[in-house]
Amino acid sequence: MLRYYLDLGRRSLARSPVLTALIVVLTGAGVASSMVTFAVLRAMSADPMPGKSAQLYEPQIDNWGPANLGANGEPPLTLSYTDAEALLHAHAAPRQAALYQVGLSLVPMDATRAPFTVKGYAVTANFFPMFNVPFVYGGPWSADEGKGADALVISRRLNERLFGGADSVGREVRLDDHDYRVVGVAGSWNPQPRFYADDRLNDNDDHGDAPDVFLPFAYAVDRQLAFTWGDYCPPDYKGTSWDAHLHSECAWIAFWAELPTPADARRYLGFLHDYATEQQRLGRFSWPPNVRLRNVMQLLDYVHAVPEQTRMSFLLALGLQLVCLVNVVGLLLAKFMRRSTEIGVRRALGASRGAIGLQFLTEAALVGAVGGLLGVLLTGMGVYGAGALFTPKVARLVHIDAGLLGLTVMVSIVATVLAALYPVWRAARVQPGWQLKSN
Amino acid sequence: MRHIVKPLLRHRMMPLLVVLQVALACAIACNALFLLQQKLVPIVTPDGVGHPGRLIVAWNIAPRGNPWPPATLRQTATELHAIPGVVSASLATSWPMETEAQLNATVVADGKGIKASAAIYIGDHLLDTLGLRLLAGRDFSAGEDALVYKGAGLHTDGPTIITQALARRLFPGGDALGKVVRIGDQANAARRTVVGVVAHLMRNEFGQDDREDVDYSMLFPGTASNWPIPIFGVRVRSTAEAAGVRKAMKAVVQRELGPDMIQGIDPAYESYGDMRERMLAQPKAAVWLLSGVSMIVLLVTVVGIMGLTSYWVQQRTRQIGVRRALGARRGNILRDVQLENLLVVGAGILLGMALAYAINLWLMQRYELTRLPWTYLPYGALLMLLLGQLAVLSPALRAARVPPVVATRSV
Repeated sequence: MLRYYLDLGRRSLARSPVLTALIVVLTGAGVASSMVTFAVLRAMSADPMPGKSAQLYEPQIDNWGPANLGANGEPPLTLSYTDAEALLHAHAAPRQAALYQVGLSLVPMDATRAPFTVKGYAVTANFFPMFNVPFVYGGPWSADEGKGADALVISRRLNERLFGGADSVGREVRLDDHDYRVVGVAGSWNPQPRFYADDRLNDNDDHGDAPDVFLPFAYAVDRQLAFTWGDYCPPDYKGTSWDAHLHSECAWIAFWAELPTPADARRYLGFLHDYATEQQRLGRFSWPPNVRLRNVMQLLDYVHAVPEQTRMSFLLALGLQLVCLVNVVGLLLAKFMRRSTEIGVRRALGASRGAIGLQFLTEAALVGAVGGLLGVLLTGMGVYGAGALFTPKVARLVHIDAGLLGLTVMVSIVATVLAALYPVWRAARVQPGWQLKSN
Repeated sequence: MRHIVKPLLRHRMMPLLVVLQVALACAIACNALFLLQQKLVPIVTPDGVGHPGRLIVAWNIAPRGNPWPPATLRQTATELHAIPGVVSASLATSWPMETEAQLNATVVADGKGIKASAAIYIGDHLLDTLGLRLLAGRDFSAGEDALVYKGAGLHTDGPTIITQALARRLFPGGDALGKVVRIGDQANAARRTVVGVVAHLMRNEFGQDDREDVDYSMLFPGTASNWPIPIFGVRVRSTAEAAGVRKAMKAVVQRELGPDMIQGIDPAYESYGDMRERMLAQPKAAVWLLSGVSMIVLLVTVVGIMGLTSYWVQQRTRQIGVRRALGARRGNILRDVQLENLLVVGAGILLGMALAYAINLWLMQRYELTRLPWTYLPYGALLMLLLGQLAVLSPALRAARVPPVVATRSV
């Protein structure tokens, strides 16, 4: 029966091509506009580390005092060296990591090649297991090894560039006049947005490349490797030396704790509170404890990782689709009611209201499916063109996958069927006698 | 009138769909156009900078450890000025179209108490280097430009040049020259005497909406101390020399400051025109998006009204024929269909305006947005009415062409 209805639908659609085309275009354009903006929104608000993000927490400690914080009283996102070291040594979480961003100039062993800049992070050893960094060769440095040693983990891309992709564990790399020993080559690892170094979240100059190098945190601090970004000092900071900076209240270290269960997180928050109380008792803080503990998604929400413009365009596109849908309701109504005579004949010949309804719903679904296919085409074009409308960093994250395409067709069919409900109801209520009489 | 309203009430669904469609289109278009107008502000407002292609800016210069002493930076600026083809060179704390460093303050007209939020650019020879158009007063003197502040310079008294927009805002009575602007609203806020007024100078971060705000800027002469990210700007004689000067500029900055820069942060040497392009890329994209959506919404609505009305006209062919047979002229039929459309679209507009406001209120709660100005409503209404009439024209003409003889057929 359904096949018969599909055939009827096809014939009826072919009979009024202009009206059909109009409905198809409206459905397609409407669904494509919401799908493109949805793809962007999805890319921007995606979980950067699925399965792990709920267990990674970033502690924040107010080491500036209410006078120096913003109006909202939120502590800095990063920690001072003093606090980071204290937290690392307290071992209040199964795993903790401290990191900061560094930039170094790499001097190739082959003297004919020019030095170039590499960017990366000084991290503590736990960083790799905590953030699921995969390894192609070797592995992370051990906790003791990291303390004084010049161990280095390089990205696969840098490994390609320097060693042609070969196993480079044990080889030497010269960074800033100092030789480092490669202990591991990281596989593809580049969570976006770059939440782990939180101050880069809203940086439009960051093109989202994977970090080139990782080196031991303690060693980088000893070597006085300067941070390349994100040093926030209280207004009264006047220090000039590295040592003064280390002992200052400048916040520049991103700190993470892995807390597997909510109970662990509660306990850790308590620990932070006690720590701040202790600092107050010692006279370092002259204000009551003001601490935060946010996991990855909470943090992304807090820093507004999804730009307002993205949400707005999604809302706008939804509105556009709604307008298209209302239009489709009207057009379908016009289309169906024109065939009152046909309905009357079918009813007179014994078709039930349900049968008429099913026939017209099938027709609507058919239009929806065709509209969905057009929508897929337009969505593809839209996502391809997203680069022109959004920043390159955003555009790079936006992608089409089978799920999105399936969703496009499905939304299109569901929307058209919904839009068809009223016209179908009207069609099913056509009085057979009346229609037959008037002709 | 009765013969128009009655059928509308009898066959409610068709007119109701048109009403709904117009209302939705009206609400969405009003809000989209309102957002569009805000995004347009930085694009259409003159930024005041003359010959953008002749201005080259070196920024993103980050020191390793402590900021460079002012003397070193000054020396660099002097050497930049010495590059052949350079007309003027400046050392500044912040720069238009660059948001890495921003100096914004609430400034107050001394004695009058009128407040405004303004961007402050501190540096030497800024008037010449930026190529601003001086409307009244004078440029800073060599002595004023040579000043070195203890800090950034926000808390020091001295002269200032302000934009005309800011002058009008702070001193609505007229001449701002010689008047004093306080930097901040505390009792001990610094006093800056206005010595010059320039036509325009855009602030370096655009707020969400305020229209005049974007042109509220002030210049302070001199050099800031302990400023972590200095910016150099040079104005070249002609665009042809820009590429050469840029290369020389890079060499000078690298030679003077390179050894103390943070590895991994590379300074940018860009023409001001390119910086402007980059900064405006996002508002421009938004403008395209919003205007595209508005256009499509309006187009879809026109098509929808057209489709629905022609169906409706077709349904009533016989009635129209009867009316014609009973003596109605073509003009009467045409006018009736148009009037009917006017009524239906008008109802849609009323509903749409309420909806537009509701959406705006909802957006205001969730996002940083200002209230939809009521002036949008009459324009939006007029636009929708015109579009409605446009859409109904072809069906109405078809209705008017219905011959009276239809009335006698197929009875």
